[in-house]
Amino acid sequence: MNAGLSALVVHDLKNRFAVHAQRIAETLDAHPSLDASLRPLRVDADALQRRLITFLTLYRADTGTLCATEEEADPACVLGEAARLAEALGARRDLAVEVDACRAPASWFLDAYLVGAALEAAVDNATRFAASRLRLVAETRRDGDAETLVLAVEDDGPGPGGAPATDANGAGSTGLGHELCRMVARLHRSGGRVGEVSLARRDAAGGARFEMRLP
Amino acid sequence: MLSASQLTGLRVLVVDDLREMRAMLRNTLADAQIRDVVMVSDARAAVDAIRAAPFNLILADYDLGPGTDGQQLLEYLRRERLVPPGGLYFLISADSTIDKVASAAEMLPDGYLVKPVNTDQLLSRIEDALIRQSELRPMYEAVHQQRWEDGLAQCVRLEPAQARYRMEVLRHAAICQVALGRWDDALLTYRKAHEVRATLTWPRLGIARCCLAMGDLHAARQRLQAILEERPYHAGAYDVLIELLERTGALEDALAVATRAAQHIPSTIRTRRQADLAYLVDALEVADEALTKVVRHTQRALTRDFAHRALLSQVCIARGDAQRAIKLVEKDAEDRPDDAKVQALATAVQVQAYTALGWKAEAGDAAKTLERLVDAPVEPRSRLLVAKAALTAGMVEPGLRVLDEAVQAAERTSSAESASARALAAKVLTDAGMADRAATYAGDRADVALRKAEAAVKTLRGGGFDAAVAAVGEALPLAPGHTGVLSAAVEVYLMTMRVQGVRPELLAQVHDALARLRARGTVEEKRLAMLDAYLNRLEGGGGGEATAASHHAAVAGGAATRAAEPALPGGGARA
Repeated sequence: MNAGLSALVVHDLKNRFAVHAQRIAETLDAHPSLDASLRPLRVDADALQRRLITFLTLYRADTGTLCATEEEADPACVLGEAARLAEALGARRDLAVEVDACRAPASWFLDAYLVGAALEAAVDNATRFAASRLRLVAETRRDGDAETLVLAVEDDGPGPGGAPATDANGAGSTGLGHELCRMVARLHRSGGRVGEVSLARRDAAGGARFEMRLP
Repeated sequence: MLSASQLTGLRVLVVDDLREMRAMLRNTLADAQIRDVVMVSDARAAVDAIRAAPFNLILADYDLGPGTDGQQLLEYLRRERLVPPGGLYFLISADSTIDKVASAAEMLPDGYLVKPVNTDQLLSRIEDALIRQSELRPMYEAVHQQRWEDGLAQCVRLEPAQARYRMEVLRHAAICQVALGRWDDALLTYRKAHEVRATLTWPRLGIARCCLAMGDLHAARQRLQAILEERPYHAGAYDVLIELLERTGALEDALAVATRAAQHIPSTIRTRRQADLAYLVDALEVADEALTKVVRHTQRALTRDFAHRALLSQVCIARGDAQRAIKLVEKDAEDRPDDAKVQALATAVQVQAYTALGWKAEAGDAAKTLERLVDAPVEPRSRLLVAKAALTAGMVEPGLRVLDEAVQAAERTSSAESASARALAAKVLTDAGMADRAATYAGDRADVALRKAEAAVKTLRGGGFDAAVAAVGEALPLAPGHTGVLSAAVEVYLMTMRVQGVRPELLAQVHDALARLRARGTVEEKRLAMLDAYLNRLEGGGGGEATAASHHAAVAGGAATRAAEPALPGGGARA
């Protein structure tokens, strides 16, 4: 099957998932007693939608039709949206979510949609391996005359290298999320600098720190 | 943070052709306690709802099915001024189409949302946009009401205070400056924004537009091509590039660009543009195909316009199928007897079709009707088709008058309209066997000004200093900001003063023109330095002693040029 056809099928699946997720939400509203059984289904449906969006975004990057539409955005808002996802995903496992945006700039030029999607992928990944907590950070880092926006997701899991091949639910990682983050970062350029990502072991505290650095 | 009442008090219009998507959005809004929601499935219904009562927020899907897309709906609403200041327009797109929604800078929506839209994301975007609207309200109001001077004053006031929204303020300042025809100022504003973030497209497009308006065509073209290489879906860049090519008479190239635009952005506007150009260069099969598509897609759409059908009929006549032309207009002509535009255009088609078929009596009757309808209020390009019919019917005087009025009306609308109308007027005259008259419409005011200015320089080189000054004096008011005209004026004034002595009024104009040319950064520094050197010598008391012969040598840059009197090289626009 060619990639274009796959993309069309995935696009259709994504929209169907959105409709199903909405129906679950409506059922939940009408029947709050079903919360315990239906909420995990909704969270799963949302997670699947995100993966399909990741696939579609990477497909566009592959065909050369993906470009960042930069606009002035508030990094704290972008981080806030990712934090809400982290809370929803972490609720099942009682993960504590901490947001640190006190050193974030008031605004930054970025494609809020793409960066948001990349951060969600990073959060999705971190949630799967975190033991008890997640920390989301937005801050600037100065390198000579140039400033860089750093968006980070930290977890207290085993960290890269030490991570098992599967998460707590036994699901394996496809690497799709990290590829999306790398691609999105590289689409952000300014003054000869190009965005980048890294995933490193946190030496002192243990766990992993994912960073997206945008010029 | 906004209060709960600010959100619950919002009146929202949802425009989506898919029922399930509309329901999803309504539920998402309900999660945020926003319950005053009206839902419609297409652009026409959206306009009807907005005309009935305004909305604080419009959420429109990009893909609304055949006819009008969400971006076109936005452009229509802005043009008709149906979105009040403070009203928000959000474009919702499937992830695969988000690049296509980026259009001309002044037609940007207040925000983009990507499906599936979740409550948090929606609320966060609405909140952000409402806060921005509130902070910048005086600026938005002035621009909405086209109070350009006031809008500019608001931008100047807001820029230092609103660091968070600095780019939005700069964008609106440039919109005001363009509307006021202050191209030099607009160029500086766009450059300022470009320096802040070189990757943003709207300042780059703005710089290209300024270059085009100032006659720096090469610079404009380079910038536009660079944008399109990066963003092949950028409708605004295609529009400006087509205008540039049309203005230079490169109609075949303009058609190629319009065809590419229509392939990437298959909307009514782009396809119609392709059809117009195809008709102009007699690519009749292409024009037929494009117009057939436009007519079919707009049958029930907001962008339905009898002018599409009339032009298709015109193409049919040109292809030798007059019967089809008559068929295309007859139903509307019968059904809409009180619609002056329909009647005028249908009659224009009938006059030409009957004539082509050799039906003299019918053609004569139609011509009599046309005499009555020749001044019907229709937009410039349609009026040119009426003029064409009048010329076909032998009504030469009214035909030429209508043609000229149409071109003038287009000139008042926009530079792009002017370029299109001039090209069509030239074709109408050529088709009517008046090719000599067609040359009158070969260029706009700026082209006429440039030709006058170039002629003035030639006159100067022949020693006709007073005549050259007078000719430049005629050229400048026609295109006061045109780089070529300004350059020629500086040369003529400097050389005249060199020979005849310093004249304060000319000196002041030279200073002003040099400052403007330097600020643009599109004129070679070497040339500017030479002009400065001449100016310094004049102001140092060096004027009045040169002869016409030595001056001519200096200007021509020939071997006779003295080292102390550097030659003024011709041209000078930087690549």
